[in-house]
Amino acid sequence: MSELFNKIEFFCQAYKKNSKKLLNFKIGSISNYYPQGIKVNIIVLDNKIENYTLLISDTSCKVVKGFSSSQLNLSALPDVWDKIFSGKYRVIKGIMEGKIKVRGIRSMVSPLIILSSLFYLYSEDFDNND
Amino acid sequence: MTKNTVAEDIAEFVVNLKYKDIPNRIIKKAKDQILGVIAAIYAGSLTDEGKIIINTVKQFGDKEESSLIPSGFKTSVRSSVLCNSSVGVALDYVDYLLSGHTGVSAVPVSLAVGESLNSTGKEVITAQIIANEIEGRLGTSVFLGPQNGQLWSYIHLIGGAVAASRLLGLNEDQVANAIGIALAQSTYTIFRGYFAMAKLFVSGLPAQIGVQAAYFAKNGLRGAHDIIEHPLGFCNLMADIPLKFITNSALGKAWVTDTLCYKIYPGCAYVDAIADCILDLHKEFDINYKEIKRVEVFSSILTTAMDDFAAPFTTIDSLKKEQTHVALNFTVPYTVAATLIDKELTPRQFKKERYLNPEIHNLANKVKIIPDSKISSEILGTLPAIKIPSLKEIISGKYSLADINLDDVTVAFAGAVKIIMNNGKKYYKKQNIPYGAPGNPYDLKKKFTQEAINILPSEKIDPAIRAINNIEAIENIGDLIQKICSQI
Repeated sequence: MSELFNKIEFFCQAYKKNSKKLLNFKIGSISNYYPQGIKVNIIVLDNKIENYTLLISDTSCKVVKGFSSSQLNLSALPDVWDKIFSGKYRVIKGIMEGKIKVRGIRSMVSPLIILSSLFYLYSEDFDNND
Repeated sequence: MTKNTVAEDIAEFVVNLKYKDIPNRIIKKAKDQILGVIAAIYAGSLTDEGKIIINTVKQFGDKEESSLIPSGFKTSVRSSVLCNSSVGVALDYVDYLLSGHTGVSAVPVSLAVGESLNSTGKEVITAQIIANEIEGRLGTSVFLGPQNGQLWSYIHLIGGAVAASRLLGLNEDQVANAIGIALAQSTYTIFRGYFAMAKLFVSGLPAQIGVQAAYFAKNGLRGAHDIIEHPLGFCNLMADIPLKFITNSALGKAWVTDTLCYKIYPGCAYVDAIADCILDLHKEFDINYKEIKRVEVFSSILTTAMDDFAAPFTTIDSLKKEQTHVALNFTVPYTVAATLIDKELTPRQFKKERYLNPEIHNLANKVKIIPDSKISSEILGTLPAIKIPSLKEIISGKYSLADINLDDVTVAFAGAVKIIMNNGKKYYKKQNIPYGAPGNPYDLKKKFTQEAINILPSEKIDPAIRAINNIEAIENIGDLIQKICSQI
């Protein structure tokens, strides 16, 4: 598996470990907003196009290689994804700067804000700061 | 008997609310709201963007009905609303409540329409409170949607409509028509447009449309009374998960005006606690900004998202191109750096000579935002803190705003700052509730005086404050307008 896949895996593990801490308020559960969870295709624009599908629900997070049917498709170059899953860059900023493309963004703003925040929050273990 | 539509319920409240039925604490909050909004208009009138809008409106050559603040120049009601509201929002220096930035339309609309009609102070402040209550409920109804905060420009449509309807003395059928007319062309703020000078119209244009809707309704034009709750109506088209029942919940029983948060600095609500931290640290310690190695700002994930939307427009190159400070009101690094260097966060930090200053941007590059789970939970947990049981119950519609102790709300828009110096010394401060938010009171006279000093002769400042604080005694609101304008 690629280095990026490993970084997304790291994110998934960190999310699972911490999700209860972040979502420990009554209005915040992802399932309240998205009963099927948030499913996003992470498309890596490269010479060979590489795709991953990420599925996030209240307490679980899973990444698989390949493209799935999803309304949320994010495309970016490998270095952009690398920075995002290293906690050095964020999805919303990437969209505003034109470095991440989103199809059908009109109805996807809310999940994008959630994803952008979660990727940043759990790609580095910020909560260990003193 | 046919059940009322939401707009008809709102209309009943708009027409029948009596000044004497409004709790004293709400009147007090509304007076502070006037102080805060007029101060923001004073400050906004001195910005480059504000001056363009003022000069353009003066060129319209409209009928003389109402005043531009602060000059006292007379123009039409609708142009007064457009100008005063737009200038008021210029520095993002206006209040917000559950849910929306209501003051920047509630106050200018009530003053402009009231002035044209020679309304009493009691009538004007009642209209202002009505606008707060209805705008806040409409904002809450679309809380779970793609937009947030000031981007909810459409709340000013209904605010303009209901405040003007009340002052014009429309009957219930006419008020419901005004709402139907105003919301028929709902404004939807485009994210990109929000980070340019044109952002100033986010409240003024919709408020103006709302006011005009009331005048059209008065003359017999009709709008859809079920525009809010219809399957293809406002809530369903504006929210991901519409909370329609909130729009007419507990009117006259629960007061969202109770939740008013007054801004004491220019900038988005999410930077308030962070600015508090830095200014408090400045009071306690002598921090040499030139010796700062880095600054860590701990904030919610929402602050991070806000910063990301604005970030591309906050570089010196972009600021030169856009020729406006607007995006800087939403950025943490610039706010932190400017506050550290200038030891204040006021309209001065958003003047061109400051926002193009490389020293501030160099320090801003040393600022890192760190999303904090606990702070995120505290902010996102504000609703449970005011005893809303669960989202499912909210959506079910069983819930009423009357079940919430809105007068007991604290707003936990927390933030924390750690400053690390070159010599290894660290300064840390956390602010749980920003100054000016419920739970951390602030004297709005300070903000008014700070901005009025640049506009009014000094001898006019105290009388202006007294007039606002005694608005209920004013027989003709024009008398108050004279006191807050510089050249009358």
